[in-house]
Amino acid sequence: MITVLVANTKGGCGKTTVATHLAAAFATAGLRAALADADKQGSSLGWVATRPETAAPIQAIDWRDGPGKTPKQVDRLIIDAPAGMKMKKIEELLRLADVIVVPVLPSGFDEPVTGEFLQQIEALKPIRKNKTAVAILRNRVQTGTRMAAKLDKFMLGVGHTGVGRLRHRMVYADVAGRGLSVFDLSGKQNEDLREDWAPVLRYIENADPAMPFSAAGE
Amino acid sequence: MTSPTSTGPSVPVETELKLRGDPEALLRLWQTLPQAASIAAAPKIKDLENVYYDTADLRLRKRGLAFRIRRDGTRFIQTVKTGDTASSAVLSRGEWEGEVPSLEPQPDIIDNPEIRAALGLILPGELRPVFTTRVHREVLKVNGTDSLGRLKVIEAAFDRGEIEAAGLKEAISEIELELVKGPARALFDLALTLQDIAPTSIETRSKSARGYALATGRKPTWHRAEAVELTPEMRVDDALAAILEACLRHWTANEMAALDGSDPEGVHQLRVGLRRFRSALSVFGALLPPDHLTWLKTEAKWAINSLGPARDWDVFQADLLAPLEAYRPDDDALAALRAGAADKQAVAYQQVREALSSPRYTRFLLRLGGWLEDRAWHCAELTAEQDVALNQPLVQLGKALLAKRHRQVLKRGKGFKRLPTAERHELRIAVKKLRYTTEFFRDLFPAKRAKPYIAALRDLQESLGHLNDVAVAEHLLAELTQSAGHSKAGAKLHRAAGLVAGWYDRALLDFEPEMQRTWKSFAATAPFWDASKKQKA
Repeated sequence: MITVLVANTKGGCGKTTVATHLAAAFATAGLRAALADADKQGSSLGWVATRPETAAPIQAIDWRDGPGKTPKQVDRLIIDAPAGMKMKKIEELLRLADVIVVPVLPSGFDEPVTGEFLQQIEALKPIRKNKTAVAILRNRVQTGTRMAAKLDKFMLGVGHTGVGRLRHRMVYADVAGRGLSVFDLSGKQNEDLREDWAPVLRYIENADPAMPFSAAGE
Repeated sequence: MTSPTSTGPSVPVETELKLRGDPEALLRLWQTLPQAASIAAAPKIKDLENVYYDTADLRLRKRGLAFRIRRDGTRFIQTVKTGDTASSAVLSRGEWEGEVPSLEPQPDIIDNPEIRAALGLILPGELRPVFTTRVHREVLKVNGTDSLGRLKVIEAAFDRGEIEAAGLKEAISEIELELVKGPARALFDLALTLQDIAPTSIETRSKSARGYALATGRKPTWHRAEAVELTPEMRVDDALAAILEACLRHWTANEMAALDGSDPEGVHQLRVGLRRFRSALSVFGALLPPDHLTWLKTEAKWAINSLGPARDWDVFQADLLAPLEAYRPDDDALAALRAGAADKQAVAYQQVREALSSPRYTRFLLRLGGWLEDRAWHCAELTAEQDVALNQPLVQLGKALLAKRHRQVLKRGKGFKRLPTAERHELRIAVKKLRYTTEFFRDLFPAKRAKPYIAALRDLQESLGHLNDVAVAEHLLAELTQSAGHSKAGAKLHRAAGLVAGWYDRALLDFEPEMQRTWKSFAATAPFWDASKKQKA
């Protein structure tokens, strides 16, 4: 099992969008996916509740009162972390995770908060010891804009190159209320949008603690 | 072996043994097989092409999987094999198979959740060909009974062909014995019979492992020993089998790296595996029939001795010579000594390759494999006392052996300060044996109590190790200067040898306080296996 923690102390950066999409990406690929909601607002839980029965199944886990038992027979566990949470809480969730995905918006308000958040988590043991990988995912990017370029520069500044970017599209707001994701929809346009997710998905797959070989050769 | 319609969560496992060797020897062997195994039917012949797929970042390989599509006439069979992790004599792997319309990989049709989970996420179009194998295969079915009258069915296949990756080609020539029915021992017995016809070696690599090596250009890597899980209640018999099997797996996993020789760690790890095997024999030996013990000891000693010089010359260059070179850079006498050592090392590695490719080595592995599969020490020669001892809980034996080895160390180290070098060597050997014994049994006791004892023992062993450095250096220097003569070049070698010998003699003097300190501290550390003693103290 690979456990992914989606977190950023800055609210409204698309945490729930990212968490639900990651869960759906794994579920539609035939893997047993679970989505644990640790956010008091319970948006991820609500999303799973409205998910149509015809869509690839995702197991919902209520961790609003703190992390419980990790489920059995799950291939990918996605944890939606609460926003603005205390570092103590994040450390608790981080110890469970193999990868932490940090969504970042191209906004002047987000950068200082995210930078501070990254500094804080880097001091935590699992990350310091390289046990947990950190993936920064740029969200709601309008390609070619000055804001997008500025975000790239910011990420280099904090020492991360990031694992891809998600373009800003209305479809994300649309699917959110229907318990769906771009992975559940057909059409060329959505196929195109799914490409945006490939780098972060590959990054997660390579963080599998069960890989017996560290290098490709042997 | 299975079809996509198979039900149940368990993935079928195949058990096979592969032999490689000189193509002509294998052909001769194959032609004699029908007669040797009394087979009447003619072989089935197939020409197979397998294309192996992976993601660009080779995730499937990292997960120990092989994903291939086989072209079989006009049909295409997609197969996923799991568990190609450590190499061992007998390969046991899970497998999923299903028909697909073309050479286009179809990961989505795999319905087995375990295999699906093992594959992980594969993005659309992400799988691409990495290498291709083309094989001319002849298959014979060997039916019969083994030496104990048990029914056996073995499928024997002779594969000849090539692997192609990134424009490079490598020949394939191997005989695969796959167990269809019966005890795994039957595979070893058949392979031993075949050894009488023509010498072969055991192939520990799968075709996919070879293909990936060719595609990535990576040298074979070395492997550490895997942990053996022992519990206090476990029967001695089960522990014995588990330990010996783990040692065998460890050393055979390092064969390719040792044969390759570009990383000294290959030969080193192979020796570590063999040494642990020998120490297990010295720990458990009294519980085995004497004939069996003699055979195992003789063969293991022969194998480890064949690797000794290669390891010695590796250590000589990397550890013993390097500090002097750093202290006296550009010393031409030391350079001459290093050149001489490199020559000796090349000869020693040739000896390693010969030993590992020899019929004696293959026979040892095959007999040992069958012996372990069958726990063949349970035979007529086993005494009633041995039988009882094998059935007792492991912790009892562990306590007795630890106490005995501990006493021996204390006895040999008595009056350490005034102990002459020769007797310190004997102490060093007693310490080494105690160390192995603790390594085998430490998990049976609380880690918190074992830790300080093992740390003190390790420190003592390391400081006494300087004695061995000097002994090894002297022995190797003698070998280097033996034929040096009195020429100018010879004089250089003698001078360098003098430098090295002097350096380590002096170092021994420097280490004297440390040796005394580590001895004192070990002698004062309480044993961890006797809980009652701790309470009294």
